[in-house]
Order: sequence, then structure tokens, then C-alpha cells
Amino acid sequence: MFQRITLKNYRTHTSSMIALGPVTLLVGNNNSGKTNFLRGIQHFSKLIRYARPRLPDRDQKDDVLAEGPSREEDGLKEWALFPHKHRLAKWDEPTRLDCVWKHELGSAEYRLELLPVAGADVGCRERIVLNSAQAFAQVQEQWGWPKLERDLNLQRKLAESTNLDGRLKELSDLFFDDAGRAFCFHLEPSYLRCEGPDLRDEADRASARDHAGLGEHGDGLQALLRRLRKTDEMTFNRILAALRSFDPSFQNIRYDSRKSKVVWQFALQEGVPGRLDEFDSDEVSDGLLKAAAVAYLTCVPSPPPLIMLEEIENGINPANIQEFMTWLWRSAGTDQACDKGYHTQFLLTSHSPTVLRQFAEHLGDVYTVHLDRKGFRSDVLNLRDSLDVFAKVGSLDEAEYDEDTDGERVLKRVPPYRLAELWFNGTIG
Amino acid sequence: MAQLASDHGVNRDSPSRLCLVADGGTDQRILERIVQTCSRASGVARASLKVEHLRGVTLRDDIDRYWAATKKADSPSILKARDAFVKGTISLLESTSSKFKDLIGRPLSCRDRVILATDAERRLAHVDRYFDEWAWVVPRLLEQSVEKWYHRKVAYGYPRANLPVILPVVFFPSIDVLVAAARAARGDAFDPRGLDAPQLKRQLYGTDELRSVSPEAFERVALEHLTDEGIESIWKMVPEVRLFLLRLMAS
Repeated sequence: MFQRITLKNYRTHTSSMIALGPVTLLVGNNNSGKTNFLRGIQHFSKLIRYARPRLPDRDQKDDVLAEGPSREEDGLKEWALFPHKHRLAKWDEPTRLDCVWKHELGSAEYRLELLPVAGADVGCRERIVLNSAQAFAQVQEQWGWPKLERDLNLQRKLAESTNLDGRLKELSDLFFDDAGRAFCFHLEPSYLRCEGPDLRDEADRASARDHAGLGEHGDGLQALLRRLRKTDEMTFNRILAALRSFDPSFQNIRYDSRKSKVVWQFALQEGVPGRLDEFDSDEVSDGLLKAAAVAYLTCVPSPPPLIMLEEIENGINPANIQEFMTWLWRSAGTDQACDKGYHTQFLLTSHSPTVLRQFAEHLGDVYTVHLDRKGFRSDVLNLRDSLDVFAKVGSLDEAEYDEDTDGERVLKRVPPYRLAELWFNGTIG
Repeated sequence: MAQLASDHGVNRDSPSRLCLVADGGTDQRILERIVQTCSRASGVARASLKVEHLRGVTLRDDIDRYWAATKKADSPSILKARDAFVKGTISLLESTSSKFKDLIGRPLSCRDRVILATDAERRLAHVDRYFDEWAWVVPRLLEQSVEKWYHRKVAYGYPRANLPVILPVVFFPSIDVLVAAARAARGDAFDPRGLDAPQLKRQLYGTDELRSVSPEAFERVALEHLTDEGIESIWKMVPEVRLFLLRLMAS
């Protein structure tokens, strides 16, 4: 599990750190930098997955790179090379990811930096500190110091090292596997209804295939359900059970080969056994489709270590948000979670006080994101720290404190209604 | 009651419905199991009772507001807080009955029941502290709300055959006190009193976030203890639910 992630000079984040719980929430105004944080994690995760400091990306203007002279003289060229870099950062300041990761076998602290190199390209350097819990061994390795490299090869270097303890090698493999599998989803009803992915180019096709076919916007949902029904009945049934708890009239999903479409079945009339009414995906509610996609993400047997979901509340009635959050929590961990790490972690963004209310007893897992217009910089603050200040100056009487293991008083809970009030009066969000 | 029900077109052959209003999904599952156990003990066939979980309706905010307001110790503010709590509960009952009716697709009848449950989120230092006024008054305020709601419905001309039986109950500090008491029946004894809600959860489930507990583990740790013996143990150890249990078995 990831304990801490820091982004430096990525889009609006000059230096932002969040500590990750099983389910972590980012709230903030539009254009404050919430999505930028998620995209930053996804970007670096892809770099690690493909072991390259730069990806063929629609955002990166390769045609501009091919033309002009030196990048230092040409701002356009610089941003073609580093489209994600904070616009006010200096040329020689790196774009950086830092993360702290923990596993029952040990922990890892990893840093990846991207910088320009001669020849109009992106160079990189990596550093890792591995701590084995069992062997009480530690190793620090780096790649790209002092001279920048053109590939991310620290993982391979560790795997091929003859001096490294076997347990540290295993730890390294586990870390890089996790770090390369962070997926971001922005599920949208129009995509969720697609019978097959409508992909425009190669880059789209590659990104849309993330996480076993669901696709970033959910365009693979219908095809995925069709396939799961045949190939993985257990997961399919778990999804059905989740959807029945979401909408008691929902019964089943079947594939109509005549129409070449997935058909959704409902029992609209209680007391008439065997009667099922069928609807095409076009006729199914946005909320149920979104529930199906979230159910898939939370029911899949080997979930990615980090799933990022944007605006989970869109299309969902507030009364059903609690159900969604229960799915996420359950998927994140079991009662043994505290000892062994979480099965998967969720990082959410939201504009909904209803979602925020679900964190009334997990204030430390909420971060507020504000955009400082002067430096065009996102400030990320922990909500518990912010509310603690309000409580200490006496403007939050409802705050409840608890003692931590060191005997320190820690803000434990703010009643959900008060969180919503603070949201509506503009104190939060 | 049979005469009244038939007079108003209530089909006595259809299962009676029970609607659960609680603070969350796990609370509803605990209550459902208690209802099933008590009904079985009273000779009610499982098929003749259907339990509905009402989502998104909860007394949580009203009770949190009540505690916040009663922090100010002066009498006028306490009276004002009580009044606000009763008004909030009446509004919730109105919306509950409307949603319950939509959920079952027919008018409500006196055979239908609504369990109105909430966690106090306040601990009792000792079991007898339940009878201290600050604690004891909260269930009484719920009772007052229910009676006022009936009074309003009667004023609108509702006959008693078309109103559900409402069973209010408040747990100190949370519904997990029932699980702790039920587990005592199997020798897993610890005194749940003196613990606040997160401490009690940690003691029972190993985590204070019940949403992270798998359904199988929840069944094993909580639900399977809610047997006849478990309910008997709850009866002995948890005074705040005695009246509720008797009403549940009688209705």
C-alpha cells in the first residue's frame, strides 16, 4: 500500500503531499488542482510501467520537437517536451514523484525525477531505499546520478543485481509492480452505454484498455460484462449481487446475440414470479450504469493497488452514496487490513457534501485543494489539521477529540451535518 | 385489528412489512437479524414478514445537533434543543412513511412496522447511567415525536388501520452494544459500558471502520451471535432495548 505520495512541479502542484488511507478524498473548487494530482500519479505510474521518461501522448507535441532549435530559447519547445510541468517552474527544476510504500515484507521510499537532457529529450533519474521487515536489511540504490538517463532502469538494475538479498529483490519487484498499476477513472454515462469501445487512435486505444478493459471513461463496461458472464462467473455474480443491493428491482444481465447487445433485466412487478422486463443499456439509468462500473472495480479479484475515481457522485442520488462508499471500503480492506496493508486503495475527488459526510470519522483521509492564483500553485491541506485550528479557536464546538497512542489529543470526529454546513458556508471545498 | 384491516382493504394474506431506519447498512443488518430471531421466537413464519431497508433516511444529524445544542447547560437552550429534535423526528417520520409506502407499492397498514433506530454516540460509564436524565430523555423524546406524528395523522383523518406501528430505540453508545451483549452468551464476555463507539467497534471487530469488514467476517463476528440465547443476554445486559424487544415480539 502507498502511505505517502508527493508531486513536485507537476501541472499546478509545485510541491504537494498526501498521506493515503484506504479511501482518501480530495475536495476543492473547480480548477483547484484535484484532477491534476490524480493525473500526476497516473502519469508517473505509466512511466514506471513502460520504463520510459516520456510517453507517446497526444498532449506532447512531437511535431514541434522535430522542428525548432534549442529548447532553452524556445518556450513552446520546452512545454512540448514537458507538457505537464508547472508553467512557472524553472527550466532546470525537475518534475518529481516521491512515494512511500509499505508491504508486510517491508517498505520502499522511491523518487523519480524528470529533467531535460541534450538533444531535446527528457532524462530521468531514480532513487530507492528498500527496507526488509524480515531480514532487517536495508539497501539504497539509484539510477541516473550524476548523469541523467534516457530510460527508467532501476527496477532492472535491482533485479539483475548479484549482491542484493533475495527478500529485498522480491520487495523491489512488488513495489515496482504496484507503482506501475495506478489507474484513474472518470466514469461517464455516455461512455458506459457504449456497446464497444469507440477508439480514435492508438494512444486512445492503449489508455482505454487500462484495468482489464473498463477504460478510463467506462467505455468497455458493456463488453466487459458480456465477457465476464462467460469467463468469470464468480466476479459476475458478485457484481449482480452488488447491483441488486443498489436497485432491488434489478435482476440480471444477459447478452442478446440477435441484437448484439447487453440486455438488463428487471422484476418490475412484485409477486409475479418469473416475469422479467428487459431494457437495452440506452434505457438503463445513468446511476445504475455507474454502479455497475464501480461494482466491477470493487469486485474484481485482483484489483490494482491504487484506483483513482473522479467525481464519484455524478449521477448518483445522495441516498446511495453511502452504499458506494461501503463498496469501496470493503474492497479496500478486511478486518486484518491494519496488519497486512490494504487490498487496494482509492483516491477520490468530489464536489459533494454527501461524499464528504462519509468521512466524518476519517478527517485525516480528506484533503482540501486550493489554487493560489498568485503563484498559480495548488495548496493541499489535510482537513483534520484545518478543522483542528477552528476547534482550538472555539468556532467548532461539535468537534470530538480522542487520545492517540502517545497520549496526544487528536481530532477524531466532526458530526456529518456540521461538515456539510462548513461545506455550504464555504469553509471547506 | 383483523376487522379494521379488512375494512380498509388490507390483504392479510400478504406478508407484513417492516421498515428499518438506522444509521447505516451494518446497523440495518443487525436489526434485521434481531427482528428475524424475535419473530421466529414469537412463532411468525419467515415468509410472512418482509424487511425493507430504507436508504438515506437517518436520525444521525438530528441527534448530533441535539447533543451539540445541549452542551450549553442553560435550561432555555436545552428546551429549544428538545423541541428541535422532536420536530426533526416528526419530519423524518413523515418522509419515512411516504418512502415506505413507495417501496412496498401499497398503502401502509397497522400490520406494517417501522423501526426507528439510532446510535446515541454517547457512552454510559455504567449500565445504570442509562437512567440518568440526559440519557433516558432521548428515547422519551423519540416516543413523544411518534405520538405527535400519530396525532397529526389522526387530525388529517387517517384511521388507525392505515398507520404503521413505529418502534423507536436508541443505543448507548451504538448498536454494537447489542453484539457485545449477545457475544457474552457464548462466554465472550467484556463489559461494553464505559467504552465509546469507536472503542467498542475496535474491541468487537478489530477495526473502528465497519465498512471495511467483509460480509462473511461480519456474519461470523456479529450476526451469528444474535440467536435466542444472544437476545436473552441482550435482555439482561442492555436496559435501553427491553421495551423495544417486548414490543417487537408483541406486534
